[in-house]
Amino acid sequence: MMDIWHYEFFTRAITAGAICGITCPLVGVFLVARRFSFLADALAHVSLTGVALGLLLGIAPGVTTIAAVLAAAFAVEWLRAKQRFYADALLAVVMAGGLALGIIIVSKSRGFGADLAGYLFGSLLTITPTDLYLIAGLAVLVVAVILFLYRSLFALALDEEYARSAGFQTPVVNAAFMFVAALTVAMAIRAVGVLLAGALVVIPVLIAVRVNKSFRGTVITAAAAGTALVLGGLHLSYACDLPPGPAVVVLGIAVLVGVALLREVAELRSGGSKSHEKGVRGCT
Amino acid sequence: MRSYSREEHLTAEHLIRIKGVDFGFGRNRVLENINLEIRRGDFLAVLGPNGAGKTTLLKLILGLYQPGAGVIELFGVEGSRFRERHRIGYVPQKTGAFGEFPATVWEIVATGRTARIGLWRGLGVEDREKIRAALSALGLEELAHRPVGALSGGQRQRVAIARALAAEPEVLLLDEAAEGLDAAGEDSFYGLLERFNREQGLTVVLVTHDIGAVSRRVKKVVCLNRCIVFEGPPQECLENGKLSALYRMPVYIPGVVNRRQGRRTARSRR
Repeated sequence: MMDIWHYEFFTRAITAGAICGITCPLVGVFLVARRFSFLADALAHVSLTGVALGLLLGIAPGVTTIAAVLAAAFAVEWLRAKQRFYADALLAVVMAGGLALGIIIVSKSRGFGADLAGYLFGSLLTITPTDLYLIAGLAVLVVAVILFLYRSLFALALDEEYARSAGFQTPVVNAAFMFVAALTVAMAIRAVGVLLAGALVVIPVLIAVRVNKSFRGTVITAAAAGTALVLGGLHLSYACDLPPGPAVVVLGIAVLVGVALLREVAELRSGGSKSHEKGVRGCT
Repeated sequence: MRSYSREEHLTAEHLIRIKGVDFGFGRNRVLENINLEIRRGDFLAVLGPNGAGKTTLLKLILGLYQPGAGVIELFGVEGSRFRERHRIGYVPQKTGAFGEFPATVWEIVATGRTARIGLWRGLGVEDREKIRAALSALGLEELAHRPVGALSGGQRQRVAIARALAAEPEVLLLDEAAEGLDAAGEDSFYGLLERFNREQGLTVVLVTHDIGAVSRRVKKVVCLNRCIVFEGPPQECLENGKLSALYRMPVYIPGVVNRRQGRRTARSRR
């Protein structure tokens, strides 16, 4: 198993995966807390339009993807905050629109089916040194913004109306968050692909929520879980000859189900002992 | 929390001035020609039936809505230009969102302090001290590191007040914040607010349906039904039947207004 570390492509894949594994859940924590987790999926589908445009126009797809995802993220925030659309319905429309536009562009231009498959399902193992530098740069920016706005983002996630009334600069904070969410989704697409990016953003957070009592603990656990899942998924992919993106996601779901079951068992056991204690106290 | 000297109370400057405010959602007029002044040290209850515009009035003061006509002055500054929002604490009606995601009592109360210090500063030693003081004032020190989802409704309401107090506000606005509490919890909740008002000079404005619970504690009552129909001491509001007229039904409170008085007033207003 250790032989694979000798391959440069695998070292790059592991490094890029670990970076995405830390960054995606950092954004995901605030998305899940705000009941906005579907945003990652919606933006990922919009990225398909960006990828198709890039391939069609001969521009680096990474650039057009980031542009498309950023435009969609700001449009979503404007429609949510100013036009007061239902968030879930809005995201469903954005997702369908992004996918539809991408398919139209693909149908009008023949010859990049193979390239597109990499974006749909992720291609960690084909990451170039340039990709790695880009991912690392984006991750530094995302983590810096999240750390800087951490307390404001937490206040907004908890109760946006209270945050507005208390003088938090909600439009600025929301815009900055949408910016980093869009960058994160663009990164996640490179790791696990358009169809699975949402999972990398959300699954580690759901695992962390099951085992934490504090918000800070949830953030740290989610980042650790994200990294562990990507590394574990890549090894699983190598060992069982599976595509890397889906291997990461399937492993994540298995861990989530395992954690949920363990917690259920622990609660049943502690509930039993509590009622037993109560009964003993009642008798005496 | 900042305390005010006796001299400051005597001068009793206006913290909030509402002048000729109208507000509506589209064609639906919710508030008409509201004129109200809230002075430092006031302990005021805003009463009225459902849809009377009570919560809307609070949200106008908080800057969550903009008035269609008229002016709201906060600490002498026109509302839309007022930047020191932390000077007005807010306790919303629903604290349900508190328990839905892991967060400790300390973390939630600390967000109140963040509102005061802004984006650019981290929590310093003094800020942590203020958070501790807010927790202590509400009797929450023991629960500081407990997940808020594990607390009772009454405890969560105290967390919401502690969050507001951590910003050291000069006015505290509460929107039916005692709803869902049992009689004992409600009494202790209003008692706590009365203590903050009496001992620390905190100006308190609470929106409530429950005149019985607050009549013995508040200094002033504002009865609202799209416009202000009464403003004055609670006793006067209860005795002259304004409340029965407002709710279009007999309102009687043991020891304050008897049944006969309430019924008679309601009948005469129909």
